[in-house]
Amino acid sequence: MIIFDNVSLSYDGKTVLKNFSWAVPEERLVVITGPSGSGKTTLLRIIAGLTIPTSGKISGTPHRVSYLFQEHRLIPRRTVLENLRLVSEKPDEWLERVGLADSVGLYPAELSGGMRQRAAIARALAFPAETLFLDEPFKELDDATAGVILDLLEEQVKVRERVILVTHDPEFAAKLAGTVARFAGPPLRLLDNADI
Amino acid sequence: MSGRTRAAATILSILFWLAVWQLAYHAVSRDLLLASPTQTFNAVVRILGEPRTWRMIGRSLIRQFAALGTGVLLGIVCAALTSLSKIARAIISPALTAVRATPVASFIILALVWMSSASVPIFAASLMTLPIIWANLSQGVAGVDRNLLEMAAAYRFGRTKTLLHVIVPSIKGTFLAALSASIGLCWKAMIAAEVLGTPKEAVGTMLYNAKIYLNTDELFAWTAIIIIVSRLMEICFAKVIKAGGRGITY
Repeated sequence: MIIFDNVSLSYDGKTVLKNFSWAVPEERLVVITGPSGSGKTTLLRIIAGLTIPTSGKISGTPHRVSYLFQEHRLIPRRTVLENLRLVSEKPDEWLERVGLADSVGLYPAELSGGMRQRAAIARALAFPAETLFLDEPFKELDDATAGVILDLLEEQVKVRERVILVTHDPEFAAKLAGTVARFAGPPLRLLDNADI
Repeated sequence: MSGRTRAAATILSILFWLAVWQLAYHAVSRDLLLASPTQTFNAVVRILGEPRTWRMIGRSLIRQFAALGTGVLLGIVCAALTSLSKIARAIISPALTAVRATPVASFIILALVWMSSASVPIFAASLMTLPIIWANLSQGVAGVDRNLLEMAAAYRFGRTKTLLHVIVPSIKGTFLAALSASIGLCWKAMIAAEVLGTPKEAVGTMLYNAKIYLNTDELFAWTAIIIIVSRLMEICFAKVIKAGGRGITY
């Protein structure tokens, strides 16, 4: 179980977490929602081990994770296919599933914002890890593509030990079966945990 | 500016400076002090017609590539060390900053005490190349996108994959710019070392001999040959880079 015990984090004179304690629900899918800038991304980064808190204790964090960053973070000098080949043995399969089969040879700069997001999602889904972290996966996606990604996420919830997703848009979260943790902040504070 | 206009502008510029040179020659009117463009051209043709000239250019070019290779290799090693370790940075940075600020003549004269005249040009020219490559590479490494490095760590790329796919592509531009700048500088430093050390077969030695024997037209001719070789190296380098980068979209 992932437990935050009196965790605090400040940077650039801003307090994001202050004596924050929370036990992450033991569901296969946990959706973290809250307004923009409340500290959700920081929370996700701490759970994934990408950010170290200033003080406090956190236990039960996963060892091997796959992480969809808020920015696409595709390597600009590599094609979409090459970007995926770096993390997966079956890059074509995942690119096809997110609808990028015809764009495998393109460089990130040649893709639209939505296509880059899909490529980044494909990379996160393709990477074998016990826990999948997704930070705003529906960003820049039209409704039809978001529907495709929702289906893929449902599938991921079944095959991964755990999927933790951050979104400021609870409308998408409501379409997935799991637990929604609503937050406010900064500093980040839990409003409620609710099953969906 | 179109290609034709640019070529015309270049030709006009060259003609203008040749005219200035010719006027200066008439004003001085002493062949010992200043050779005319015609005398220089004739001397260039005469020198290039001698087989030993090509051997000397070849020898100097071999030294140039040895110096450039050594400087680049050491520059890469130093940049890797100073980027990875604060202790290495504290030790290496002041030394290379001092090397960069030291006149090449100082190194050449010191090196002539320690080593053979044939080795001095390689030593001095590589010392001129090393700090340029080191400084530019270090700057390039410092500028690598932190977000991409974090992504590489999250997806467990490991050191080799991170180096090959994140760091190298990011610093390639800075490295090539440094290499391009180094080619001319390395060549000039090497010729200076050849002039001062006068190794057996070298372009710099011929320049020195022309000066000693007061062959002003040959002095000008060898200078012209040095400039032409330098320019040709830069053009070849640019062509190789262009051919290597074809098909890659950044």
